Amino acid sequence: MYREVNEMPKCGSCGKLLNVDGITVSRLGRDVMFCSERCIEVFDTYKEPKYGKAALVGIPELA
Amino acid sequence: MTDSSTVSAPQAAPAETDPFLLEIIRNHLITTCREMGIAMMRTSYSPMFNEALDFTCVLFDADLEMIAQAPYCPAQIGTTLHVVPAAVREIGIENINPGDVIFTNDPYRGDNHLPEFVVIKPYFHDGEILAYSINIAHMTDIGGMVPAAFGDHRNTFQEGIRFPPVKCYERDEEVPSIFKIMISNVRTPKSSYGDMKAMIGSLYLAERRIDELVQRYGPDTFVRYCREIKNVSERLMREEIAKWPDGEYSAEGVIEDDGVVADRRWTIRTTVVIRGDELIVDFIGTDSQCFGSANQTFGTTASSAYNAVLHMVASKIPYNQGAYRPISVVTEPGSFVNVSYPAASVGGNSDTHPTTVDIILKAFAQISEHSSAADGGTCGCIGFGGQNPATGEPYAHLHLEGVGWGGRADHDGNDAQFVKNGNCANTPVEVAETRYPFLNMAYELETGSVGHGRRRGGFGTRRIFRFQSDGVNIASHTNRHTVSAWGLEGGLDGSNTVIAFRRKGETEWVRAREGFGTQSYGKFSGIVMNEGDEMLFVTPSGGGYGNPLEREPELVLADVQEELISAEVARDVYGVVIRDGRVDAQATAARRNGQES
Repeated sequence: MYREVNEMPKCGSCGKLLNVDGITVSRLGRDVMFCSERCIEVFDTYKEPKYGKAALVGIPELA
Repeated sequence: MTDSSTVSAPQAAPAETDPFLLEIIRNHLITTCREMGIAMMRTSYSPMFNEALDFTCVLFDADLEMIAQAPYCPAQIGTTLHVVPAAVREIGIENINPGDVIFTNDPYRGDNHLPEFVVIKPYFHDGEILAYSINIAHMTDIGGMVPAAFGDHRNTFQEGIRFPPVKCYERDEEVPSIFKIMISNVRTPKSSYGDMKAMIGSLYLAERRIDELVQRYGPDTFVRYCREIKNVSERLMREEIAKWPDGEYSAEGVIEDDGVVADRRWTIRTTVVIRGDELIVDFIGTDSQCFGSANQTFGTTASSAYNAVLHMVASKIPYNQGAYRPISVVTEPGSFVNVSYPAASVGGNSDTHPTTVDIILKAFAQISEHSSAADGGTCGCIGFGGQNPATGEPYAHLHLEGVGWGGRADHDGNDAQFVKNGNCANTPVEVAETRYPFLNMAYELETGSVGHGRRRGGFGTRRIFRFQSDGVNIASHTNRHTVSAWGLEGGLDGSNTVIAFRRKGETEWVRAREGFGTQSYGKFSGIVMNEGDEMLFVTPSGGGYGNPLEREPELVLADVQEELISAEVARDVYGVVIRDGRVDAQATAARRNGQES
């Protein structure tokens, strides 16, 4: 069944829409999907240290 | 975009790699991309492809990574890194057969915007996919509320038809339903069908060329060398990034309006983060997505980041996936640089992309002299449509126009050149007048107005159209009507865009807001011109680089002699006094020293 794009997750680091499953890990107390190992690394070493909890602003909760 | 085919890079390859064979395979792949483009140019129907060259041909390997490109449109090249894997994986590699072609234009799945049609064909060898050939091209019309897609849309449904990843060919046969849906939703069915077939034809050509390589060197060697081609580029790019000092360098800029809310500016904020041999372009802090179509998709934003970094790289690195690996992008979904469904985005790839590149270059200016002042920041996208009296059929034409580029430390800005997101050409006057019901009454450089500087900006253009039929429907998504291209290092800002109209027999030009009640001077739709009416289009100049008083007097004299600037500007802005066709050195020195008013 077709899923429209507003039902799809976004990468927790780059913000890209993930129309196929990415890598799901726990960050900031919730499950977050990332598009690649590289984006997880950028999140852990740059985005989360710099922005704290705001690092996930705009990243929708996984269904 | 730098031409990467003339580079000798394999010295960085490991010992077990034959550097000569690496070069042979790499150049064969790049040449294949070029040949795809030539085929596209010769077989397509619309001037958008055979004149303006708004398309890009690339090759990917079995890892779904880019292995070759030719210097076509940078915006499209960067986007393929995201839309191609997304489309192939959504279809599912296990569901792809020889002779299939995947098609999408979905801006939310990695594409730039709806007009950018993407077709992808796998190359099979002994039942396995070894490579993919890809053509991404800007279709002139995609249906929607205005001819040729650009205007003041509020959502994606007004922009045109959207295809998620689907197969448009199965086992070398057209999928009729896909073509029926596409053709029945555009204003230009014949040329759109022909253009689509030209795109797909280029994929078949590439398949033959890849097969030549595989047959000659074997599949294992092909796969191994594709990976090494990428690794070499990655090493070279990391070496370049490592030359810049670690740190965070921020800059911001605005888009003047979105065509929906008058005078509301939209701010893009970026921070370039250098960490050793890696680089992050962070857009957190950028405004929310706008109400019009100036939003960038993720694909456009990532592509603009790559585009800016590649402008800063001094050496000629072969541009493939390896060159992009050290570059990461951080965005917030729902922002101006990562639009969420169903907001509009057609204009984000035309007008916002070049401005985003220039904002990133402004950040780079803090650490490098290779940056530049801002360019004209608009593709000049004006759509014309209606009923063609010569054929009796509907038509749609997308006009593109060059602008002035920003000056940089060692060069004046280019004149009348398409902005940084595309290597597109204009459509020759003769071609446009043969096909469409309007004449060009004037087409020239817009001299006099420019961003002055030690290295001045380039000049924009001035064009007057006269319409030869009634009911010409005009829509526009253009920029820099109220916000100029900025100067750098003491250079002055550039001049602005002007679009204005006058009815037959009238002498005064009137702009869209005053004459037609639009919200914006440059982003509008629904203006109808009739036989004998005229439209004026002046494109912006680039910003200047460095203090104008430091420009060499002989260069100022040359600009005066070529009627690019006046003697008064030479005196008042550059402090150069010209008498009897020569520089008065004594008076110039006095003026520049502030001893003469």
